[in-house]
Amino acid sequence: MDDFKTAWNNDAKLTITRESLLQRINQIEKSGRKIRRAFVVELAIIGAIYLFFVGMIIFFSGQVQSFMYKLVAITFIGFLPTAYRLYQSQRWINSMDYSIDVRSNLLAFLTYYRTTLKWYWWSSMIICALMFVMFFTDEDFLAIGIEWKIGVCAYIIVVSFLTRPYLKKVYGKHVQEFEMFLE
Amino acid sequence: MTDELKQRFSDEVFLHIGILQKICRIYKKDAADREDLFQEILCNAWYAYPRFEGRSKFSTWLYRVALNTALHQNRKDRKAASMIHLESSTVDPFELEEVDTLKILYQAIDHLNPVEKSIIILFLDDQSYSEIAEITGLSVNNVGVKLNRIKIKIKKIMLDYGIG
Repeated sequence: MDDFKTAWNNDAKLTITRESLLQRINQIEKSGRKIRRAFVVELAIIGAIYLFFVGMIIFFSGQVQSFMYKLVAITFIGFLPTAYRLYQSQRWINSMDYSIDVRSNLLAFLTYYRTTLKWYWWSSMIICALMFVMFFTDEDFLAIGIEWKIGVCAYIIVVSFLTRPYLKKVYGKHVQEFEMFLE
Repeated sequence: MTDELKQRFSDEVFLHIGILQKICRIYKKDAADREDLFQEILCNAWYAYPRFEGRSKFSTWLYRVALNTALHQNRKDRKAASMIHLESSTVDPFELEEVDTLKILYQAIDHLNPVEKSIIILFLDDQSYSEIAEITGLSVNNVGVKLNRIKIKIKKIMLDYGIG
């Protein structure tokens, strides 16, 4: 490891000049802190999907069945708490004190993150439950073919069962690495 | 923020710019992602700087900001690994002198998880156990234990490459 240490410390290829560093700091000062790009993209996609549904309702109002309205309303309302929490998370990350030690920083992050995931999971479950109730009390839905009903039910069941493994797959590994460090 | 503060911050960061570049290189493979990470570290450091009271060394403080930022910037790289991974069969131990030692080291570190990376970076940068403990928030003993495990892991990776 000592050979590597020497090589590591000899590796000092600077690609930034003093002037360009000052320029970057000036830019930061002018632009201020922004909500992360990834979060903005996610919200923009969700917004576009809702606009698509709203467009459908406006242009094909006569042909759209009543349960479609309810479906859009339920998912929209159900997603609001998660979206708000995610937004708060972004603000929290921006206001975080990055100069504290790594352990304290990760501990604070994990506590906040677990709560956010709980919100996400519960809101998915509530959306699924409400969909079941809504579909089987809606006359238009009850009138459609059995294959559609089975398809919709299967979809809701699959989504409700896959939410937890999905969350684990996306965030689990990272959280686990942090937990190992904190042990 | 006064211009004087900005100038002082810029001067101090410039003295330790190598640290930031190495951290970016370790955590991000794609050049654009490295640039993003560097900018984010700079941004977080700049916003935290008014609270820096000089109780610890500036380098210790900057390490904290940089590593915390790198650990939080957990997005995947835009491109797949741009570094060419060494296959065990392609490295001849007798030709080791010809292989760039640093490149091998970076590739071995690439196999570690993000928090292990942060500890090995500090070790390679000649930080003492107590300084590593101060930056990471671990006890000195725990730093020793974790560092030993990481060294064993790196040694195993090297052996898998046929270097050892």
